[in-house]
Amino acid sequence: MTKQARLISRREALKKVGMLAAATSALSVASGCSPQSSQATPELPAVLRDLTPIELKYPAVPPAPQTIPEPGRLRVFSVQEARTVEALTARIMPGSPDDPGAREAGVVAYIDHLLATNEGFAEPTYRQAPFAQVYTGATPPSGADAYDVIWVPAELIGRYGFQSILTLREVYRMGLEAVDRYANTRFNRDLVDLNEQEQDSILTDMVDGKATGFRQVSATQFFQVLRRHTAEGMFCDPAYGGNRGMVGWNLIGFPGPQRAWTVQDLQTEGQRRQPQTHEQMPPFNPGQDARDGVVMPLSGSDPHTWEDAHHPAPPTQVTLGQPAEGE
Amino acid sequence: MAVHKRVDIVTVGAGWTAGILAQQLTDAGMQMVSLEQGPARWATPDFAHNHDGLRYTVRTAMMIDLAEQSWTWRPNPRAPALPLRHYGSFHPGQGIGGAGIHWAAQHWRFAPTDFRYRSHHLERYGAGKIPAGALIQDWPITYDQLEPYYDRVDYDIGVSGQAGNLRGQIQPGGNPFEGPRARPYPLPPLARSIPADMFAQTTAEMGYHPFPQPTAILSQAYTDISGRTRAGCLYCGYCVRYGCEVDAKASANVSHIPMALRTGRYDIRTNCRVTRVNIGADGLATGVTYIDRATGEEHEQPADIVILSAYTLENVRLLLLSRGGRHANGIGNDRGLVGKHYTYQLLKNPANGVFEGRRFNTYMGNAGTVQLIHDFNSDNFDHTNLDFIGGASIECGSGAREPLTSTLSMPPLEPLGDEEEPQQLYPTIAHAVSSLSGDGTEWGQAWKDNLRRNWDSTFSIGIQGESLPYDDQFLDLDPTYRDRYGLPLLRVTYDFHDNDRKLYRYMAARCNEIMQRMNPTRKSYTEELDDYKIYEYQSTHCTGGAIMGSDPGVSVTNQYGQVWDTPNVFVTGAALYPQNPGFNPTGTLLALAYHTADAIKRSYVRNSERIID
Repeated sequence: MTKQARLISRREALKKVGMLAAATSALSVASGCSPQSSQATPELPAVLRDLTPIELKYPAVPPAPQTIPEPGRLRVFSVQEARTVEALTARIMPGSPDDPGAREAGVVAYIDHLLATNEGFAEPTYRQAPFAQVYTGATPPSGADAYDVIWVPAELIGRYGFQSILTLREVYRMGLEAVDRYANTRFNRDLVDLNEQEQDSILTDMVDGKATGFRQVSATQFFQVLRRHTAEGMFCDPAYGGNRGMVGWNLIGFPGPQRAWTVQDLQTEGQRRQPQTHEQMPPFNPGQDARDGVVMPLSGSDPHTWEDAHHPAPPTQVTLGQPAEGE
Repeated sequence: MAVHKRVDIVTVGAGWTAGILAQQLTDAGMQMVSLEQGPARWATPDFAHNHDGLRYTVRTAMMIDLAEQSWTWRPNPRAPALPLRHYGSFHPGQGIGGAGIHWAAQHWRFAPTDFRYRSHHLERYGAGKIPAGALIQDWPITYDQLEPYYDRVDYDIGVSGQAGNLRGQIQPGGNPFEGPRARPYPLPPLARSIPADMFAQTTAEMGYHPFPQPTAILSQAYTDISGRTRAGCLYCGYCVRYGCEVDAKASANVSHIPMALRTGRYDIRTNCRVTRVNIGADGLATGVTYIDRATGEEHEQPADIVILSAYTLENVRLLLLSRGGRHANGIGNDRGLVGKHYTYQLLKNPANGVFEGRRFNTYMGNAGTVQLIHDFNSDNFDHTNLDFIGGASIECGSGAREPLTSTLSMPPLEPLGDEEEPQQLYPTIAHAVSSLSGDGTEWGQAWKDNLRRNWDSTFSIGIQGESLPYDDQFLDLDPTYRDRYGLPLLRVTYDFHDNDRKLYRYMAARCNEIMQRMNPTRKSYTEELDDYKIYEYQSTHCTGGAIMGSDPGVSVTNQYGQVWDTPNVFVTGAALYPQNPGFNPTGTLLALAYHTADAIKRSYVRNSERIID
């Protein structure tokens, strides 16, 4: 566990305890303030007493990991798979220590962690059979209805979105195998042993659908998966293992999650703030608590001053392309 | 099975319309229960720390869990129907407040002609103008009848905007095409973004009438119906698909639900999924059956009145699932009309511009920092020489741009050729497409350079257009796929029609002209409407399926959402809309909820069989 990770999990724990304490005190205030005897005090409706953390209220979508996934510690990928994903994503978003890209941002750690979670299903997913199969020509193959399958003509299937029986973990396994098969067909070597120009030519063939030997996981679709996860690993909150040192946000000029912007900020071009992570956002408890009706509007305050006062710590910097401190 | 104590009213869901009805009717002394399939959640502590784009935008954390239930879709009755396995086209929420927590809060009144759609088009253009197969009707209520309710909503929840028509007087800076309003908005509009400002300037020069987006987000502190003073918007940039941590964005959780809870006559049971409306020997509803999701246990909640106030598609599904006794085909469906008039919208961004060297702060703000024109919405422009009916709003300047999705759909540095996509021989694999970001293919150093130089130098001009209901698009129960409890999913049969393509082509050309005039470094322009794809996010503005009308022969409910064939069942929300105008639907369904509450207060009689007139 890195120092940063320890700090975060401690803060996380403190936050939860604090939340419970605040909620408990609000409850006791509610009953204590009542002029009637405690028996006459109407109990707060259950929906105002539910203290389950929001993460657990939406279990289909796992919360950010308690500790930042560490680069180099694989949970799903084999070493060969991890090296192949690193090579592919580093061509999709190239970089160097001076100008970080996918490799430096930790995209592989991000994807490996994603695949470790529920086989890669990190969002609400309907998984009941029957699954679709595709046919070309006028009718499905004969005897096709012997199995519990929905047959869909090839020209329509693309309109239905995700319909595969495969899990995301299987998609990576099969896609990466096919990439190496194709690399060997063309160059007699695995993808990681090719130079950058050769790797680019493999990716170009995948984009164009010209790469051969891809079954079930088509070359074009596997490229789209890699590209999407490269973007996620570049621009997600660093808590998920990607975007280390906020290099992705620095690349595009995104300041990360902020509490507030003024109208002047909104309307003035070229606004820049030092990026911050979700975890580095200042604690926040204005507004109303559904239990006690306290109000503390924040509009009009100067977020710069406010931020300086409440958020003196600079964003954590991870040395680019190097393992994080403490590993 | 646990049978609960009888109440006056039970609602399915505890979202916007249930909240309004609960506040209005518990205030009138009625006992109410809402059965909400999702959890309880409030600004504090649930939304206090939620600026996590991966969890809330990409992974759609607050939406109905598809593992539990989904919907199937097919483009036409001859095509196979497949389930929505990941979110795409629409985003129905779960939890107290419903989709009204994560909504964009663009807040509209429909145009007066939208309420007399059929009569208006017959009068102005004749029957030949109406596309073959289109099912269009007049609403059973007029704009003028609904205006007092619209007005109440504006002031009760706090709406920011600039009036365009005050009691018949056109107001500078507002929407001159809107219906007359009794009062101005209670709050000035939200601040406009830089792209919105450019759009307003350009469209004004072109002779159009730009105005600020009316929004149910407070532009400054405001005291709402609950007596609480809420903070103004902080333009934080985490708005659609997030709960608002300062309660600047209106929702039932902010105002109406706490008021109803305070009466002691209202209870919300969370994580409870209603599976059917129960029917008595007399054909009236006797209450609902539901499943406690935590225990799997079945419960019964008897009630005098059942209000279906869930999402459009869920309301229709529950009507169809509630069959038995006198309603063999489901409640409201004695004449086979449930599921008809289903329609949707055209929500597209036809023109994208890149302005090298500029930085627009598109990650700040929200859907209210927008400027629009309605010169081409509704029937605000003469269609005599056009090959379609209907219109679209044209808008620009939305904020809250999320890098996780927008980086995937940047206009590429080098325009891509119109290459034929390879034929797809296998079902789409997990996550191959991003419902929010389209299918860009730019990669490598060009992609990186493009993002570095231009990520915040680009914006689009978008349309929200009408899509008419047709006789070959409808909702029914799927014969194959089931939910976790073994009940059939709802099947959606919908595709774009010829009128949609023509309307889109016309609007896209307008968007392109406006973008051209802003003089971008480069732009992309999508001239033609692509096929409808269930995985591409459009909006959660699904409408119809249990429409209101003035005659039981052509509608499922009356003007109060009271079901003709089962008068102690009411439907709220956009399922009631006979067709779908070029506006966000929520403002109107909030006004209709007040309208229904007034009717129930006025006419409620225990075990009533009476249709309210």
